[in-house]
Amino acid sequence: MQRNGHAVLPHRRAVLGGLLAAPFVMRSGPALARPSRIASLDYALAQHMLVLGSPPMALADAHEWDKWVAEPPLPADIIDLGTSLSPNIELLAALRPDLVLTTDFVGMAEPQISRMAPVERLTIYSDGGTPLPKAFETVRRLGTILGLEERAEAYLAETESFFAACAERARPFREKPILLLSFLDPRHARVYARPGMQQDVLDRLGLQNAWTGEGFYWGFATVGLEELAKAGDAVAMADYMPPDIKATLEQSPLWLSLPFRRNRGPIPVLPTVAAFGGVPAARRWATLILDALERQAA
Amino acid sequence: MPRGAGRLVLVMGLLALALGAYFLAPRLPLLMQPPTEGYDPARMVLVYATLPRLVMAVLCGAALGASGALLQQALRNPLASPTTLGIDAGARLALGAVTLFYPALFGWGRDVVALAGSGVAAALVFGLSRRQDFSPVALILSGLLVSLYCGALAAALTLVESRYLASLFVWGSGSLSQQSWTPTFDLAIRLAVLVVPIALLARPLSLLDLGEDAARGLGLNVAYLRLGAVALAVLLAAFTASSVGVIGFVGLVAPILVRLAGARSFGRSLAAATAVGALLLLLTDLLVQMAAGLSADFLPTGAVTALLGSPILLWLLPRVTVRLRKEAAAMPAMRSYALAMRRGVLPVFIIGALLIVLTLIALAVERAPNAEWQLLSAADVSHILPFRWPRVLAAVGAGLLLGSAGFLLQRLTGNEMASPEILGVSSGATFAMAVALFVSGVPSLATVTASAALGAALVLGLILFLSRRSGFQPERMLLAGIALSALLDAVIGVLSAAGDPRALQLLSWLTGAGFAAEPMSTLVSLALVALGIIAALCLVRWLDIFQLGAVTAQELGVPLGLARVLLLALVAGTTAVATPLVGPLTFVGFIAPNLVRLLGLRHSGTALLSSALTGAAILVTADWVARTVAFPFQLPTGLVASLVGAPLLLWLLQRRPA
Repeated sequence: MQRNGHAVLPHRRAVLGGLLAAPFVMRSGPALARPSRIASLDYALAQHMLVLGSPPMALADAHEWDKWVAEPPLPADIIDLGTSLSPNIELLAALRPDLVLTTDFVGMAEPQISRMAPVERLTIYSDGGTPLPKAFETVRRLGTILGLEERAEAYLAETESFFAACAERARPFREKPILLLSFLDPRHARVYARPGMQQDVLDRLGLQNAWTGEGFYWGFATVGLEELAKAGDAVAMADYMPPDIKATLEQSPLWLSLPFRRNRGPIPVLPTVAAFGGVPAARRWATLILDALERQAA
Repeated sequence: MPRGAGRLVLVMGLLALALGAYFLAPRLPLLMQPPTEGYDPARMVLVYATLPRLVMAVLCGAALGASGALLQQALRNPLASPTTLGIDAGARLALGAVTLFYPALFGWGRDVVALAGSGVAAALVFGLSRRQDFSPVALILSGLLVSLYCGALAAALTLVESRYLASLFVWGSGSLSQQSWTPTFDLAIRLAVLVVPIALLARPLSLLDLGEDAARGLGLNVAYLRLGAVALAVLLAAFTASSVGVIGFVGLVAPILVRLAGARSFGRSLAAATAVGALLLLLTDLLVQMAAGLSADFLPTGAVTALLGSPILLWLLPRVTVRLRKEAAAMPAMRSYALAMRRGVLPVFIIGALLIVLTLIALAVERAPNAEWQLLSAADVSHILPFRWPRVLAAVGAGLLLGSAGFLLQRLTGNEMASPEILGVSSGATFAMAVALFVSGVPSLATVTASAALGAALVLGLILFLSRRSGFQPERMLLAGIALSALLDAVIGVLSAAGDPRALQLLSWLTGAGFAAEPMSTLVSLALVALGIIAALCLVRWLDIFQLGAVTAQELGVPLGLARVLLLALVAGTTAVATPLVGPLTFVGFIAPNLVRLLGLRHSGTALLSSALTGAAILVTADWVARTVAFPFQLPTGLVASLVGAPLLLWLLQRRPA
């Protein structure tokens, strides 16, 4: 995970350094009434706690963090609660949390959890609106809960200037629509679309999405690869492509003839980034997209 | 002027031609252009996506139609098909497992895997129905059981690796989408290999029409002939599944349509079924592609054929029953039960004591947060026990309910393959839960439970309504239940294929992973359990009389229709209460009564209570294993129950041939 953090994102070292130092700063003295034993059932909310410098005590699916989220790095001592849809309630009870964070998606466990601890439901991916503003809201809300309002505001302000800098970096690429894919098998892929986090990021950077169709609120559409012809000429990149799919794909005459493949060669595969993450994931998407664009232009 | 099946093929062919022309006409001129220097995306899509897809639809449909015709002829069973005999589900599970663990497997390797999966599933189905002389109903029930079992395992696989969920769903619901000619050519080669052996078998198979004895008299080895035909049918279905995924119901509907159209000889009906299968899938896929132009949603063709196929099956059922009914009457109606009744309360007490011991273990033996095994410490009693006892007792309650529901259903239908899962009631509950998930967006346990109960009740009503005309004949009700289950599964497949993460929520509940019991709901359920078992004990006398046969029962003054309705309502009610507690796929209702039967407990009252207690013992154990074995991960309880119970049952069935 450090590999991704530092090799791919050199200009973010300062930010990361601050984040890594944050837990030590925090340890000096949380306010008395503030919850301190917090468990999260959601990756995005855990991301937000990490950037606020107050990591959760326990997290669902913690063991897969490096595989699907990577950034920010997860401290090793965080307890794994099992899968997010079926968290280990008894383990959670044994840990005696004083706050459990959930979302609409994992909300089914709430009746049980609310018998042991207060529950805060903070949903980023839901009907109505787009994810990034909701993610900002959850950062603020977590700031209030943790007594870290200033840090939350500072992080969001820093994020705004980060996006502004990214938009500047993206200026040369404004004319080229971007196609963001996630491969399912050699015949089908997900296309990131409106109203998703990836679309929000493209909007912030002033870039166009080559896929104009709308998805549902998770922000993607599932398509057969031949439909990608609709995207026309674009710069395509994938956040996920198993090697075996690549081999088959590169033999398909249709794939080879799609404008974005034909004009630009095999499409780049991005390093690990959360598909349905929080603000840190949005920032990582921005960086990875720009890195890929610049590498292709070079 | 062609008649019968010929006319059907002609009409469907003309329809396909018209639809295809309408679909392709605007684009065909592109083919005439020379492959120019410039890039032409429309032409590329036509040549490498649209055309291979249409050819693929024809090939798959033909293979499935032929496969169904072979199975129906060889087994003398009008409802046999790759879908109903679990062949599809076996291939799906095998390929799903391989996709997870060896994603790079393509080409013949994939075919071998699909073949192994469908072969094992078919063998299981035949093994299970051997004791009932492969009667049509027994075969179909075993097929459904194996399908459900494979489906539960496949669901668990996707939960292990949720990233693959969408790809497994896409594949499982049979998308015909193509981007090159390679898969089409590959499938064509595989099917071409099978043409000669199928043609060679057609003649001897047609002799089966004369009856088995006559065929034997003509010097045929009927057993080998059947084996060969089934093997070819499995090959056809497996090749199709390995190249595009599972396309349900074409293999069932095509031969039935041909038979209804009136094909005379088997050779003709095989050819006609092949053609009708091809045209059926081609037509469906043309419609799907046209519909896809209208909406943005991803719609896999296989899910659509299942969606269209199950109502067709419902409609066809009354038309294929003549032979079914005869076979059903000839079915060994478990008359031996009436002879060998062993009354006694001792077994009930022994199983009850076992259940209490298991429940105590489930309550007290646990894993510490550091994963060490330990006994529940005094300090944790107030912290952990409030979350554990409702869950353990819910397992007990659900087990009692499913055990007795399964027993009632098996006695009522006189079929040891019957189980509440199969009645469609669980599917109804699942379906309603899916709707609640997808409509409300924010599921609460209460909404989910309420909708599950409502869905179960609706399906029960529908089944009762549909089988009203047959005088609530149990076999007919089972078949209607099967068709409904398939329909609901198809709807869920369509919902999930687009890759909506909510499909994960559904899946996790489907396998009993989202086992969430509240103290209050558990206590209410337990009260309902008590009511259900008391009601069952009141009706149990009827069951003893049923074993003497319907005619005798009527002579003895049992109101047959009323008794059936009451017992079925009881079965559905108990299933509806149990399903939200543990999910729809535990197989406890199938396993527990069979275990009890194999123990030799045949007196209805004794067997009912023993089934209920055995069901509870299985579920409590399964739940304990699910909570502890992979700590901190909780395995799906329903899945553990079926993984533990089913092999045990198979072993017992093997040990004591009828």
